[in-house]
Amino acid sequence: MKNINFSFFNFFREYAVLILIVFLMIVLTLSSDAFLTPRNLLNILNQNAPLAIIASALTLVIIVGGFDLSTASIFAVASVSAAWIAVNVNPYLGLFITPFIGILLGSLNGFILTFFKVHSFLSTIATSLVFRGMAILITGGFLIPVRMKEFVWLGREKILEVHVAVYILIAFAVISTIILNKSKIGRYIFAIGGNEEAAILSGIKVNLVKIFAFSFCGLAAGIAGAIQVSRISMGTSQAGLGMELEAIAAVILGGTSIYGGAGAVWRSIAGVMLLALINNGFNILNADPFYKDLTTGIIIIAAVALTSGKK
Amino acid sequence: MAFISIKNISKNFSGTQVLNNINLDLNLGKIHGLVGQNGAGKSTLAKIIGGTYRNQFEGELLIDNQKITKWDSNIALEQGIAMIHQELALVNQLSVIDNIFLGIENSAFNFFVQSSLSRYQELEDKIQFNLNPNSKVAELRIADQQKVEIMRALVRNAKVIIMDEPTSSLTNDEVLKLHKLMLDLKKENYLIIYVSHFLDNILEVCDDVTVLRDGNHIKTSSSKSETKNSLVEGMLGKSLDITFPKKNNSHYDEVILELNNVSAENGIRDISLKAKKGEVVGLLGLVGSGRTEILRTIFGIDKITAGSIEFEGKNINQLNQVETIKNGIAMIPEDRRKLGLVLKQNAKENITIANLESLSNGIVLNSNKEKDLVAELIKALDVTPNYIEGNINFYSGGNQQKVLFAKWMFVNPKLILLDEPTRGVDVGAKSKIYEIIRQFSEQGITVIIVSSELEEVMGLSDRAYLVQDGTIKDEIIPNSTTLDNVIYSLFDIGKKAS
Repeated sequence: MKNINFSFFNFFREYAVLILIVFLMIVLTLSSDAFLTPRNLLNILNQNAPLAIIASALTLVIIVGGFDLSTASIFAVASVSAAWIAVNVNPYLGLFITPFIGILLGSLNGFILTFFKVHSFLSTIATSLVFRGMAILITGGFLIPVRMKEFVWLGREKILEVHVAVYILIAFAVISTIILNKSKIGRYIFAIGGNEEAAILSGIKVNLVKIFAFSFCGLAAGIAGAIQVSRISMGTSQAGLGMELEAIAAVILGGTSIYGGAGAVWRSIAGVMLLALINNGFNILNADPFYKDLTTGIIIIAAVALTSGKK
Repeated sequence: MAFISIKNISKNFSGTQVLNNINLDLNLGKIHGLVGQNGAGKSTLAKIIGGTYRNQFEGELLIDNQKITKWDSNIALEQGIAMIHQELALVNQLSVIDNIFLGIENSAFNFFVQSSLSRYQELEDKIQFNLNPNSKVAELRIADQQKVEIMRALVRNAKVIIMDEPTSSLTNDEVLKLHKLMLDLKKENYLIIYVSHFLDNILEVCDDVTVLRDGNHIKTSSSKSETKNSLVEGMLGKSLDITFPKKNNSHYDEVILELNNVSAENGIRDISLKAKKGEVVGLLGLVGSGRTEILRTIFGIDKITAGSIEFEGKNINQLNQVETIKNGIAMIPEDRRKLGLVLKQNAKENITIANLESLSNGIVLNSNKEKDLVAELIKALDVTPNYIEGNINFYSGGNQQKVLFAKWMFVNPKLILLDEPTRGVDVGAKSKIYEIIRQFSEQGITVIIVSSELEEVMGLSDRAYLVQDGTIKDEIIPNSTTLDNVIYSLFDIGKKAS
């Protein structure tokens, strides 16, 4: 009897985020006919693809024991660079250069925090300002509208009724999962987050692994930035403001340990979806949007309470 | 020629000389013991060889006749030298097998294509540790975690394995197994450097033994020509038998703690025991028998599922640790670095943390009173160094333990639970700790003591319980039986289980 209770409790804790998603889906299905339609669900996925891509990669950073508060700024640099290059050089080049911009800025994060041995929380606050400043310089403070067909396809085009962005999200999540669970570097990410000392004593090049994790996170922010700028066909230095915290919230909400050493990519995507469902619920129920932040906050507290060690 | 050659090696930590011109040659195919009191420098020497201190020492280290220029634990590993640390260095969240192969996984272009299970099995066939490769390390007992560390060294093709106090948390039969493994490894031409406080263990398996005292090399000789006494003589510079302080003959009558048929979520079941005011009660048992769990249950860490715990006639079943401490119960845990001490705080702060109320006038702390009280305690317990603001991170095991004792003396509890109070503690500090325990008893403080050193429990306690398989098997009066009898009955039970 005792054992059954115990394992039920463990199961609940382990999959709290999924249980909450199912719960919200049931509530929304019962309260609105517009909710449980392929169109609405795919829409949610599409709208949140940029955030989910960032959260997938951020999972690696948080498991390795770091934080990345600069993802939104990298996102902004990538999107304004894409827009600027699209207008001034070539729209395809603009889109395809964003992953490299992301990797470059992400690896810069990695180098700074390993070279100066500062906590990533601090170093990425600093670089987020630097990157945001770069985005402002690139735009010169103006908006960069890009209406070319060769540019907006990435964010708007559909293949078989599904947005391109959704395919990119799926591919990115699969790759992140494989790296994390089926590769050496993934194993090292867990090891460093779990016990950095032990990782060093095992001959793991800890700095290199950290630089990888931050570069990967930068890559994600770059790709996400390209999707977003292509979708709104407008480069703005203020793109993605506040997104870094949303991404962190989603990762933690999904159940990845904020202390590092444990977690999974699917959890972060589930975290994004949970936040998205709350948002969607407000829209389709026509609820007073003044209550949205309040409700989101309360649900985050509820999720944290469910997953914490406290019985 | 010697595989490892140490020439004039010295080391100091911010001005304190811990090693002084050590010269030593170590050969493959041998087990070499390193003994000395805590602070004698044996761990430091082991860590220099193992690469923990990198190049930060004076003198020369030659591996295979090559003078090393750059040195750290990874290079040492490449040269075939693996170190098993006293504070185990494993990743708790990863499984046994993942820890063993961490850093040397089978992979193709960074991705895993086949599991390491066949390599694991190959090793397991050789050494038979019987671990579940998929268990998380966090769920293993310290003894099993140590096995994981040994396996890690073996799969890295180490030629030299340095073991720093490997037996301090093992039961007697586990020690025997470890010794057998060491002898097997020796036959396969490994060099084992065996650092230990347990002189019997050293004498049993080592070919040669080196005695260090205050950072000086006293002697290296064949262990056949040494006895426990001759080693202690070398360590202390004089002969010293470990003696236990006299037990007071007073009669204890006031029952202060009573457990009635207690079972708990940690697996102990149907425990009934009594402890009287001022009495020293021992729990004798093997590692994993449930002795530590009994303490944890009394202290309110693990929840009880049946029965009752009465303390001073009051039911304390459902109390948490804060409340048990308020009621006058203290616990000094086994893993003092992790659970007992705040290593970032100094000696004073560690000592007063559990009873700051007594130093506070309601608004601020009286720091003069604090300093005086701490100075007094440090003097009474003979803590070295005797600075009240000393950095305990660098204290020896014995002195860290004394700081913990001071902390609880300051709280002035009615009942103290001691889990392995002398683990990793040198001979001198041990007898001081024994004295303190008897002193507690004289002050009317009840002590419940758990230790892997059966002699210690026998020598200290007025009354003892035999613990096996999560429950109490017997109650004994140590003075009216012998250690042999106890070991016999503990192992008789052990035989039945296997």
